[in-house]
Amino acid sequence: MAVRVDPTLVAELEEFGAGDMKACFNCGNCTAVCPLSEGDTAFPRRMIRYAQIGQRDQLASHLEPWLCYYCGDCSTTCPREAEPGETMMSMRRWLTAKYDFTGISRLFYRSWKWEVYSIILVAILTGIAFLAVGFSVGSIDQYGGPDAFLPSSGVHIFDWVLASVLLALLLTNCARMWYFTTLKGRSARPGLGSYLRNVHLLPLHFFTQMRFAKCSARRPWVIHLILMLSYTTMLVLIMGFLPQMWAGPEIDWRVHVFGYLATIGLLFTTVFAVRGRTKKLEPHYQFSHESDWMFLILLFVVAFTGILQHILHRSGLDVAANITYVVHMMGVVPMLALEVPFSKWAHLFYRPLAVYLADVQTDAAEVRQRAPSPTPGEAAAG
Amino acid sequence: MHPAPEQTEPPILVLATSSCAYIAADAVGQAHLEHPANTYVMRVPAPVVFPDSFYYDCFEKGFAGIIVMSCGHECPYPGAFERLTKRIDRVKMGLKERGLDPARLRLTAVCTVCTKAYLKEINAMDALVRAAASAAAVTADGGDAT
Amino acid sequence: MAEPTHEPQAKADEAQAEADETQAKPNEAQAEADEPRVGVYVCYCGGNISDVVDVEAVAAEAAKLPGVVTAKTNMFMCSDPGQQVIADDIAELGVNRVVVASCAPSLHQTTFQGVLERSGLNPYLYENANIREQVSWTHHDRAEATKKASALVSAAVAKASRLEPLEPVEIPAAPAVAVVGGGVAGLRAATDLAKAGLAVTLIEKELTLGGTVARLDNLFPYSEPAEDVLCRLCEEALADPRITVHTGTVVESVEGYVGAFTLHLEQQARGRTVEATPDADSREITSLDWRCEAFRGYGPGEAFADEPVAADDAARALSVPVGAIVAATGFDLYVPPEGEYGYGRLPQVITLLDFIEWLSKQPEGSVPTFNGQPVRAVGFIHCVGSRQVEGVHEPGPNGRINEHCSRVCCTATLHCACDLRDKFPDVVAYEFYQDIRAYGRGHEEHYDRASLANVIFLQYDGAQPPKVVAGEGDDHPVLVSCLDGLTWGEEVEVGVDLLVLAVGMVAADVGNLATSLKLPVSADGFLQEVHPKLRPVEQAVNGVLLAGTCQAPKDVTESCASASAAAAKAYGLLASGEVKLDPYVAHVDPELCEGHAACVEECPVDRAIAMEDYPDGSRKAMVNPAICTGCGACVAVCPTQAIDLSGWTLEAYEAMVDALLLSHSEVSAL
Ligand SMILES: Cc1cc2nc3c(=O)[nH]c(=O)nc-3n(C[C@H](O)[C@H](O)[C@H](O)COP(=O)(O)OP(=O)(O)OC[C@H]3O[C@@H](n4cnc5c(N)ncnc54)[C@H](O)[C@@H]3O)c2cc1C
Ligand code: SF4
Ligand code: SF4
Ligand code: SF4
Ligand code: SF4
Repeated sequence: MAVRVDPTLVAELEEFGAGDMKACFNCGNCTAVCPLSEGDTAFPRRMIRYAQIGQRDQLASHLEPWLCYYCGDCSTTCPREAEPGETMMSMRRWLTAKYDFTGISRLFYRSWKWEVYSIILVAILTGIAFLAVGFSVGSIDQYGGPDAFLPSSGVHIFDWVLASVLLALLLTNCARMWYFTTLKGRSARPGLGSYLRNVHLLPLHFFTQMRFAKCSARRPWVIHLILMLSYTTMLVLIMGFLPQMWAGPEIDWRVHVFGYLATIGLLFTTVFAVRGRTKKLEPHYQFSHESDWMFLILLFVVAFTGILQHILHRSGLDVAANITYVVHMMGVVPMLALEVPFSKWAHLFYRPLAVYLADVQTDAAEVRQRAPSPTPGEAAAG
Repeated sequence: MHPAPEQTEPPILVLATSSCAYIAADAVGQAHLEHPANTYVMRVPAPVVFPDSFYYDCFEKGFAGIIVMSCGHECPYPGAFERLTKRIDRVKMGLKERGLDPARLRLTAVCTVCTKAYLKEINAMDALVRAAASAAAVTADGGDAT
Repeated sequence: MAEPTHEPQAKADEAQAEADETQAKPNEAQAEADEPRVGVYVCYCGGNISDVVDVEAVAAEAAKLPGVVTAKTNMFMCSDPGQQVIADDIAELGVNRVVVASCAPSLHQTTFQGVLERSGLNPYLYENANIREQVSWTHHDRAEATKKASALVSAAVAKASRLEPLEPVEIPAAPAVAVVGGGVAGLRAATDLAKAGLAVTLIEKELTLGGTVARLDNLFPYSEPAEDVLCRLCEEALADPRITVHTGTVVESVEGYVGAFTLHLEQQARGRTVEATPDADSREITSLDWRCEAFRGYGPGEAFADEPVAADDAARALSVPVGAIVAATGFDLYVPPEGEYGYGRLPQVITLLDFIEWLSKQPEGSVPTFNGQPVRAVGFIHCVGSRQVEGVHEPGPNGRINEHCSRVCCTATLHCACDLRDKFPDVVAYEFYQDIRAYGRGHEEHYDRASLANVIFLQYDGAQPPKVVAGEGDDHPVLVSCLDGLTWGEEVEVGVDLLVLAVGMVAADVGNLATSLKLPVSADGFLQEVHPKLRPVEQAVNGVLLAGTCQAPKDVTESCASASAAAAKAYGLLASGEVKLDPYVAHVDPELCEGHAACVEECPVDRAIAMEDYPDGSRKAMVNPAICTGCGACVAVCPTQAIDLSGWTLEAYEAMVDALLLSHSEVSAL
């Protein structure tokens, strides 16, 4: 059956920040140099071609955009300056919007105004709410203790509520990703064995980003790894040990050490990235979508106010610490409520999942190959 | 006139057209393609210039084989190739009447880059005349040579 | 024919007389020439020859040959010192025939002939023995190779001893040129020739000038309006008093030869207007209309201030004597057979030329329409009627398939797609192509433009052309699909409102011009040059030159370039008032000719040889060296050996055969 060309997808991806992919003449140099495209995968060229002829379903059914870590080798090599790396990036945005059933993601990616205003609105609401609660339950000059302006147990509960909503959204979207890429329209689906055999890879990829290490330039991987580990460490500390962090001088030294390390990591990497993007220092910093800036700014604000309120509190300036803490939450809440499920942050989950699913698919293909002629019944059952 | 002594290689005459086969012979040289040395190339504008008697004389004088390498239908002289084919057909008949193997006269088209065809023709004719020569030698050894 | 033309005939006779004189020259010279004194020069070629051949032995053998006064060797005969050796021997030893045993004659024949000429010797007294390509590079046994080299040298000496001085055939030439075809190439050639001072007759079969370019809008590569280019060319040509333009005129027949051709022309009645041809196909009318618009004044029935175009209204015949002919008859567009890509069945399937006209008429800023229907998507198919594949495409009316690439259609199509996207950014454009052959300066830029303008490219394989079907129940009336090479051979389909076929260029029927002169055509039907690199604008028929697309598909730039080249060649041929031709033609020895006329019967070339009355009442054969091609067919049939080829005599060949066999037996007996 012939596939029908839909000429509108190019313009749509351009709204998501695609590079000059129209200029691509399908030479395949990008795929040849891409250190991560191997075996059956043929990205970025295959993805670009699907985009050029408007194959939305094909694009949505591929994990390949997620297998790219945007080292930028392809963009540097492309003879037509078609920016394949940036096009892959835009496809990840497009896919994030596609997986997100709420439609918020789509709105944010295509209109930075919507994204910024939403963030500001949520930040203001958060600020008002926290101030209101703070004044009603405690006093502004108390950081800890029974009269604390923002009691840690309350914040902890709030964090967990927020995290649950977030997790619910993310899991649904992840499930949709799984459905589009691995189940929908496939005659042969991976068996349970394939999932189980590879399950260890999910955390492995998550924590090491080891595929990124295969790229020819190592620095982006190191930066990315530091950022990711710092972020995750912070998340674990906050979700698990928030009350301990509040406790005052008797804070567990491990919480201390990890907390400081993570903060340094976050501040260093965000400053590095902002500088890189402003000065376009690396291939993958050549083009910055609004969502990229938003990501960095929020992350920096959160990390900076987080450590600032800590320092202020330690210096005995509890009023200032409390105010800074409110500002910190004004960053945290929009970040967790809007950015993580609907924007660039989502890739934290999508990418390892995609890498895992790709491994599962490969495993399943190998299984099929080893048993070359499954009976039709088996194939259907699988 | 000058019958070749028995021990020499039987000589072959190659009539090569300036616009085609002679250039192919040059190409054979440029490619350093080795072939029998008993072949002598004469450059001609168009082989149609030779009358029937020229061929008979050549055989009589001692050539063992003649290859006419023309341009075939690429011949730059209109009408020349058609006349040439007729003449060669006629001479072949004449050779038969004279008791000579008509295969010793060969008409073929060789283009400027036909190095393979050139060598193939040379080698085929060489094999033919050598076989004939050794057969003749055997008969001679048999005793009743004149 | 209206009036008989005596003049060219008279000229022809003059040429004949002059030619006879030329013929006589060798005999005179022979009488003067001394006994042959042959100098033999054997080259080492820096080891290329001497590594295999014992060069000194060859020279020693050569010295023993009859007529040889000296035999020398040299490391490089072609070097200045090598050449000097020959010059010195000519001066000091009275050498008057030269044999150089060296590389192939294609390399240095002219070098050594130059030495002879500079030393005051006739250059035709030179002969080569090819002992490199034919000996040292192909045989590796030293004894065998040396023996063969000696044999070749002895044959060359045998021939050299029989060489006679020759002079190029000179015939008087009329300082006038006929240019057949009034497209860009014809106009360019005519103007160049007139500027050089020759009288030009420009013959165009249509009533208007300009050819295909008159039907184009903007020309790639620089999007110059076609009208501007053509107006400039026409004005230049029409303003020049040395150019006579005959439109509505065809060549009935041609006679004569280089320097003295006569063209017999038929000019149609001029009063005919376009509107008065009701049965002409409608496309033709619009295009002619358009041409008349653009070239007002050269069109039918319209007077043009002091126009050189004949104004009388009756059909007439005229004869034009010229020295050379420039063929600028252009190309024909391929006409797809009904059903090819839906052509002729689906009204939305049109050719690129139709598209250009359509696009130029669509008002900007609106939704373009075709047959009243809005056009939102346009498909272009490349290579229609070009690059056809045996077994896939049906042979055309000429029984051939067109394997050639038409060269202009890629860039023309890209250019049109860009124009479309520029003018109507909302209209989607698709191009189905095999390869993009945008080969010229500024051509590839249009590919860039097109891809940046989001023209969507789909690549098909020549053996599996795109499929076209009516889009029943679809948004678009025409559906085109192909196995897209860019999408891993998946079948990809697009819907379009207009499908444009980039039809190729095919050879035009040149008519009586070609048949009268028996102009050679190449396998693809276009007029053929003598050699694509060495003599790219000359025809094998002397005095006929090629300009523009009658030779092969070309764009306007290339057409005009070849037209200028043809003009320069024609001028070079005629400028001195005489045409010089190779002396390798037949000549008759009247002493020996007994009037059998066997040669005349055998000669394959019209008027090359004829029986003439001699003052003593006998009839003898006489060659016209301007027409004789030098094939030698006549030589073989003369019962008295009265006719021979200058420079390639039968006697010389026989002597070579003897020499070869003598060396062959002698040396090997050693
Ligand atoms: C769709 C299309 C688009 C093109 N676009 C471009 C472009 O953008 N830029 C570009 O550079 N090139 C373009 N070309 C190519 C361009 O049209 C040719 O290069 C040009 O027309 C060649 O000129 P010509 O004089 O050789 O032949 P023609 O234009 O064919 O002219 C030949 C003339 O000779 C006349 N004639 C033929 N036979 C006889 C005869 N027997 N006696 C008397 N007269 C005769 C014909 O009537 C005609 O007037 C395009 C071609 C096509 C088909
Ligand atoms: S290297 Fe550039 S032009 Fe080539 S396929 Fe990749 S994106 Fe396209
Ligand atoms: S950015 Fe790097 S990883 Fe991504 S497709 Fe290009 S080369 Fe591959
Ligand atoms: S120029 Fe292009 S469209 Fe025309 S025949 Fe050649 S490849 Fe085909
Ligand atoms: S050489 Fe050829 S063309 Fe000339 S007269 Fe003889 S047969 Fe005719």
